[in-house]
Amino acid sequence: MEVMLENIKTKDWEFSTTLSSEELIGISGPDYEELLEILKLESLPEGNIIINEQVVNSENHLDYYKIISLVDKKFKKINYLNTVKEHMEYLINYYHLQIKNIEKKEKDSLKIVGLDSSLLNRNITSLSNSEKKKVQIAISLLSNPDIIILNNPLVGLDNKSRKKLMMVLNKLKNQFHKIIIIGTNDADVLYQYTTKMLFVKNKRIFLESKTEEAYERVDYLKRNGFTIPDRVLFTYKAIKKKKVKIDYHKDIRDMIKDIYKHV
Amino acid sequence: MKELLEVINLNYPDLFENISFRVEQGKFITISGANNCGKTTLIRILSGQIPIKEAIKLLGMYEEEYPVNLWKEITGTIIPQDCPTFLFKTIEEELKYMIHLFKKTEEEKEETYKEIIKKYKLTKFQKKDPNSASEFIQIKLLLAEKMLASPQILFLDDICMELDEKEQKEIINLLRTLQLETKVTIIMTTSNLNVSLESDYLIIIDEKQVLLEGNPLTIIEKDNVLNKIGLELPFMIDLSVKLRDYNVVEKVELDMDRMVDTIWK
Repeated sequence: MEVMLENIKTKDWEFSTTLSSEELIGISGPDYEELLEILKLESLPEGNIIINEQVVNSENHLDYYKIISLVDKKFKKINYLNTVKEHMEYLINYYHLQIKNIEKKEKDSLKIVGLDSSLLNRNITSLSNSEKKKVQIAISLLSNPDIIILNNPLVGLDNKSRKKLMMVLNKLKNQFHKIIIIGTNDADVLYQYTTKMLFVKNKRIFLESKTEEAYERVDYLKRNGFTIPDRVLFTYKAIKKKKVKIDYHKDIRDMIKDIYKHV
Repeated sequence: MKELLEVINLNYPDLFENISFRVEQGKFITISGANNCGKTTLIRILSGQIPIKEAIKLLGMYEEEYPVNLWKEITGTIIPQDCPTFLFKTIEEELKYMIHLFKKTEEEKEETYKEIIKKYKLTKFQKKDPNSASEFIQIKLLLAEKMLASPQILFLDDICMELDEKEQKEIINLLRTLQLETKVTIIMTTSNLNVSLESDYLIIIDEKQVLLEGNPLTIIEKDNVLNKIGLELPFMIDLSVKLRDYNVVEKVELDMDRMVDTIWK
């Protein structure tokens, strides 16, 4: 799965980039949420958009609408709907999704994100924060989207839930070739879980690079106001201040071993 | 120190079994635990949204013995996931209305308004719509409104969750200032142990019980226990504890530069 965006111009933004299911993509920067909205392609921006070698134009634009889903920061409960099931069915009707066995699809979506099917009949207001997050993702899976954009998906989740959810997203990417995009300003999350980064600033893509390479440009990122992941910053300080020859590591245990070797 | 709040043998189906703890006046308490351990429910119980008899005592009296309005007056609760809505179209109007409810003379009102705008750093946002403002601005506005009633105690449900590090720091500093000025007691749940480092006392809930309680730094050093229940240690603590196991450092160091200097003298 690949989306090519060339010379896109909309809402003062100007950019070109290619999004592919080969990478787990992270987007960060002061106005990252605006870019997530644009990537939803609700309105067709100026420029060339090519999805899987097909040019998207005003005629076929709406066909692509269903394949992109944006998982918002917060669960937007619909006033007159109560249960998880009701919210799921609302979406199924809204998109006129052709699903043979609706109940099975609903239960399967919950299962993918690690939730029990008994949650279907629970009221949204009775769910915990982390359950709401997972239900949001489950709902977004109903339309079988090819591109899943998630706004700050790991916030408030404990380590176990984070790892599980990232496993699910990686599976969707690797086995089903879906494009996964995570927008957040949590540098530690981005460093740990993404493989490619888009840093955005002043309505432009400021830096596009492999995650590890990007974050190792500490001075450059800092000068431009981006947060550096703690583990990168620590290693950077050791290299810069003490001229120690340690490497950057994503896993803290590898980092400890490297430090131990160089004491 | 005077005891302000007591939680006595609190029971709640599937979440709490005989939970008890005491909170001294003027302290800043954080409560943490893995997802679904009942953090929000605990705040709902403390605030009176979920009434439970003979479990919550404030100033020596059970919650149910207070007239409903009085309980609401002496406690202030913020639960961001309930998506609080504001009545007015601008932050200025919203605040001025709330001030009007608590202050009498025009002079007092004007002065209070100026003070709040400055203290909560809302100058740039006065004309913004509070309902479409960022979560950070909304939380500050809610805090300002709650503090107008001069509550004895604040119950805050993970108000730092959606905020970035810089915003989190500002909120914590603000809470500390409010505490110094008004001696308000604060009980705040958090999913982020970094935030709890700034508090006076930390309570960890797991398997329906209080698993650990005490000085936050001492608690967070117990990396094995916390990792097991799924909580992530703040990076500097995680690093310190692991380096200590390798005998590279002797104690926990929270400052990165000092840590680098300690390892490579």
